Formats: sequence, C-alpha cells, structure tokens
Amino acid sequence: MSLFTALDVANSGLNAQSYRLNVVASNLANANSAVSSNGQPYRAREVVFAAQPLSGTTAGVDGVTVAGVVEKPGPLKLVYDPGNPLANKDGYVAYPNVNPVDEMVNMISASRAYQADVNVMNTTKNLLLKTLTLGQ
Amino acid sequence: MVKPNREEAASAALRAIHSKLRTTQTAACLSARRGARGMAAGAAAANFCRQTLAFCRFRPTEPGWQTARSLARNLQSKAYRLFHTLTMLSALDREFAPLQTALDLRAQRQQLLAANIANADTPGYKAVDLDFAAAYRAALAGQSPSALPLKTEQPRHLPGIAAQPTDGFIGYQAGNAARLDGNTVDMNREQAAFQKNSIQYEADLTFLTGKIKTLTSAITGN
Repeated sequence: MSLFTALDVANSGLNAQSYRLNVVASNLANANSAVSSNGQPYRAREVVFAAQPLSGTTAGVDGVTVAGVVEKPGPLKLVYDPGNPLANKDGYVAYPNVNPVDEMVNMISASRAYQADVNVMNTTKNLLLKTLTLGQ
Repeated sequence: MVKPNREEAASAALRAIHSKLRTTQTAACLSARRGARGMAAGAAAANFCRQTLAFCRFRPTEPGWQTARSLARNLQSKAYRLFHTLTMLSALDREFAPLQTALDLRAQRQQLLAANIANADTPGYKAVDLDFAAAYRAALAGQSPSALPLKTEQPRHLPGIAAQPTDGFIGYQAGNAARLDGNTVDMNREQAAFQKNSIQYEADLTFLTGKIKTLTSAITGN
C-alpha cells in the first residue's frame, strides 16, 4: 500500500527536525560555555540534511536524513574579563559564537517543519482509515 | 475387435477433456484479475466440450461413449459457469478500473508531496511532482509505462521498462524560485497541493463507495 510510504517519509522528516531542535537547544544552553569537552570554547553547531531514497519506493520519493552536524565557522566572541581564570594574557575570554537570534529563527523554522510533517501524517492516516471503510 | 479401440478413443477423449479443463482452471485462477485470458480459456473449454458432445451423439448406445458424454456434459456446464463468472468479474473490473487507477495515482502523488514537505530544509533538494493527468490517461489506455523507450536493434535486446508505471510521469516542479542552498520547495504550494490531493483522494473513495453501493443494491434488490 503506497500511502504507508507517505507515513515513512513524514516520519523521517519528524526525526530530522527533532534532531535539529536538539541541536538548537544545545546551542542555546551552551551560549555561555567558555570551555567545552575538548578544552576549547563551545562552537555553535548546525545539522545538515540530505535527501535519502527510502527502500522499495517509487523513484522521486525521498525521505530526509541528518547527513551530519557541523560547527559554525564564525569568530568567537571575545569579552574583556581579566578576573576570569580562562582569560588570555590580554584579559579576554573567548565565548561561543552562538547567535541567539539565529538560534531562535532556526528553532521556529524547525518547529514549523515538524508541524507540517505531523500534518502530513494525520492527513495520510485519515486517508488510510477512510480507505479501510471503502464500500461501507 | 472394434469396440476396445473405441473405448480407448473415448478414454483418450476424456483425458483430453480433463487436461483441457485443468488448464482452463489454472489459467482462470492465474488471470482472474485480468479477466480476458481466463474468459478465452473458459470459452475454449466450453467449445471443446460441445464438440465432444456432438461427436458422442452419433454413438449413443455404447457404454464407453455414454460415460464420455455424461462427463463432457458435466464439464461443459462447469466451463460455462466459469466463463460467466469471469465475464461478470471483468465487467466489475471495467466498472472499477478508472477509480482504482485514480486512487493509485493519488496515493503515489501523496508520497511525492510528503517527500517534498519532509525535504523542505534539505540543501540542493529539488521539488518533485507527478503529472497526474498524463499518468492517468496513459494508465487507462494501458500504455507502455516508459516515457523514454529504449531503442532495440536486435530481437534479443532487452526492452527498457520503467520499474514503476508512473516513472515516466514524475518530474521536477518548474517555476519555483530556488533558495541560496539550491532547494526549490515552496512550502505554501506544497501544503496546498497536499491538501488538494487528499481531498481528491477522498472524493475518489466516495465515488467508489457509491458505485459499490449501487451494485450492492442492484444485487440484493433493496
């Protein structure tokens, strides 16, 4: 039944968008983490999506998958804080290059896309249920 | 001296009838959905039985031929029944074929639009769509699914056949502005097309239900 594939596609979208929301949450939470697990200041991260054909489907029907998480290349924020133990010899502390506005926009975009996928799932589910009652 | 030969001939005829009927039944089972071939096989078997009966009429008194005759009559009625069932089935198929095809294609398009919505943020993704009208016309006409047939020069070359009947009718959407990352999904357009396609799918379902109800009321008479 080909409509089930539409559910699979929407499901892949939900997974990808929730991954993106997780990364946004991580960025916002670490907006002031001057040091991360690798000893360097935290860098804002971003997910990269890629279209991926689902197995056993028509050509052209692609799900979405998270191809990877990349660190944003922008410069770190330098804040003058000579009392901080992490300050360099000039008294500056490097803070993450997280831009809260970027992150909020990213978050809204992800949640809208998530809603669209949920909508696709609901509509497809209704169609499948209607198909079950065909002829009654 | 003559009689055993005739009995042999009669049993050979019976065997032939049996094997023919078995072939008919197999063909009918295999092609019950496709109708036409099963019908042809049923008609051929009925015809064969009729000839056997006509042949038996000239030797009505001999016991071997009497057996052959009664068996042939029995098998003939079975073959006729099969033929009529298949005729009815293929009439039903014809009745439902347009809506069935439409539902299949709508479901396919639903997948494509779902894929577009899921890939709204995928860099480089190009929005796809199904040319419903062309695919529907081709499916009803029973045309070759491949939009680009492979040219063959030798009889043993393989013809190029699309994996799916709709493969030739799926294309990239034209006229959408591409974003900087190369993505051409227009979310508003996709949402609208998705809802429209859903409603059309439901409409097809409603029409099909109506047809089934009409037929049911014709059969039950109330």
